Amino acid sequence: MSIVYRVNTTTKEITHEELKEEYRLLGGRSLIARVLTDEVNPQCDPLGAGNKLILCTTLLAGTTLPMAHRLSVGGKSPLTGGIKEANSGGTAASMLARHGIKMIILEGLPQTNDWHILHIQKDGTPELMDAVDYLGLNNYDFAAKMQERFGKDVGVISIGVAGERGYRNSTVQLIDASTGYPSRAAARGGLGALMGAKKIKAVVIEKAANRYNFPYADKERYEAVRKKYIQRVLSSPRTESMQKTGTISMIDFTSTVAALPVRNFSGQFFEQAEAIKSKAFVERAFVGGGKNKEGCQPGCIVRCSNRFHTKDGEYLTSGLEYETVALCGSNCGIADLDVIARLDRMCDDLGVDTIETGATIAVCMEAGKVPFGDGEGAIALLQEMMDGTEFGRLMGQGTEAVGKALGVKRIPTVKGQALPAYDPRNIKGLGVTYSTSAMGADHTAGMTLGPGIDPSKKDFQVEKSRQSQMGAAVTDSFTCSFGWGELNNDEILPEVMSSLYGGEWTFEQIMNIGKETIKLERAFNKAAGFTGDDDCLPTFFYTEASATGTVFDISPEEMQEIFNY
Amino acid sequence: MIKVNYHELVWEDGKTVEDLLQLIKEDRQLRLLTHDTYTVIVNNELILPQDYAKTPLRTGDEVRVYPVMAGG
Ligand code: SF4
Repeated sequence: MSIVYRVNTTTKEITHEELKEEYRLLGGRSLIARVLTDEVNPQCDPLGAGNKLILCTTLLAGTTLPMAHRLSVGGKSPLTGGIKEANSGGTAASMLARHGIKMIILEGLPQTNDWHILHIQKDGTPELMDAVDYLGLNNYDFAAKMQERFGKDVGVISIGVAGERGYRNSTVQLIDASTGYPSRAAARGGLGALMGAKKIKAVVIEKAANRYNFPYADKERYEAVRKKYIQRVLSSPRTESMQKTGTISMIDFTSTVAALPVRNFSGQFFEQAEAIKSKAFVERAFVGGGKNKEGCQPGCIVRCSNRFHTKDGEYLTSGLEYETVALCGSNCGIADLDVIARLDRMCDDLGVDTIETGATIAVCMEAGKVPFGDGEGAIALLQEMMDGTEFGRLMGQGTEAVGKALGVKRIPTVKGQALPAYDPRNIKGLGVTYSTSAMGADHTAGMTLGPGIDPSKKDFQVEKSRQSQMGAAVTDSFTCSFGWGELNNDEILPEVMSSLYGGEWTFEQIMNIGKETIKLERAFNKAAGFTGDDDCLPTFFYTEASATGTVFDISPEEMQEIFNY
Repeated sequence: MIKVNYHELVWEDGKTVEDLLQLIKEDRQLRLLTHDTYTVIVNNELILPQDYAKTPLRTGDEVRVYPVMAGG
């Protein structure tokens, strides 16, 4: 896995490079941290010529290990102004891996208004195609046109109109393996706007004529550990629950401890939680031909995804997730799964982050633009983003911009990025992660629930978050996090690395990849102008008690301890 | 009556934390969320797994049960 394509969007020149030797043992998030450190000035304008958009595969890409094909997308974030890596399932990473492509770097800035599609042909040769006929299309129509032109099995990485317009909450969308629709997103941090600034509408990958063969250091050893890993995943009780309800079952828990965000992070219990819990979801999901147990990438054996149809039997959206149901649902006071699914579809189509968008709508509700609980009002606000009205374009700048413009006091953001779906007053370790991660508020940067710690108390949360953040940086360099539980142990992970890359790997060596990644990311942010003052939750989490009586009580000074390692 | 995650549950005094976890396992909806791995807090005290069977729950006790979690 060694091909790197570098696309100069100023000159339209594409160069083919071999992956540098010092990057060989990096992938996904760790590779992005290194390349941005080496090539991008942290003080650059995120939408200017100095920033680069990086698309890359993980350390396990090209192998037959299930769930290994995540696509990482990175750059300096147009939303936070800091370093950003967002990753997603879908088909694109395995399509790239079949060509032996490890990384694509989009750099420079076009001098004219010509838009292009980067087309990876069957023989792996890249070319820039004119995109004029496709401008103004959202992701669903665009993906359909690419499938019409290149066949159903084409891989598509695209931006919708949100990315074209430079919305700072815009996503990079990917085609889902089960449904064939562009419903998977590298969602956070506005990387769609960065791709739009380069005037690249999409990267379109045709199926490789000759499949790349991963150079296993020891194939026999690899096959043995692969088998062991698969057995563990298939016999895990977590896999069973993920297949039934995906991530949505988390609502059953967070709603009981007031960790589910409700009406702009009010900290209250959600009176209508039953309507969005897993039982209600399972009942609704099968109406009209919907399904669970879907895999978003080829060969997934957890299959946590789902497809959601209208009651009339028409496909509406896929991969309805906990975060979306919480942010676009309870956080807006909305308890109607049909409305939430429509919001999800609109977000994927336009190409905006469901977390940021749900948080933005809730801030609009707090300002009185529409009442909490008004599903049609929420849809109308999102429609404004689609239509590009003046207010819709403001919404496209994210939750913080909208909150400030509307004079809202309670704006739930860190480093300009909206909080995901765990209230930090009742899961305090996540408050530490939200505050201190270089990514801005991001749950995937370090989940902190684990045995032996009371999540509602401040004790040990900083240590737990430190450990989890390093672990997450490793996960994001390897695979989908939902297979990670069975991979992340002394017996499997070092064996996988040794059989793939040679040598005798230790668990510590692998964890070191995470540690180094976090150091690079933090150094990038520091050079971009971030200080310890940016590692903090909004004041209202410290001053307003939740329904369980808790406030967030870990001081910014205590959280700075996280970096003492 | 005890409270589990701030919500009331009818309870027979003297049954233990282990009995509660068993009940959670049998309840389809609760089982889905806990993935068989828990942190258990009773009246603000952390209970270690080896003490689950030795820790009785009585009327008025406040229990919190947390899963290991992941949610995308
Ligand atoms: S476990 Fe879920 S998110 Fe991960 S690859 Fe499979 S379907 Fe996609």
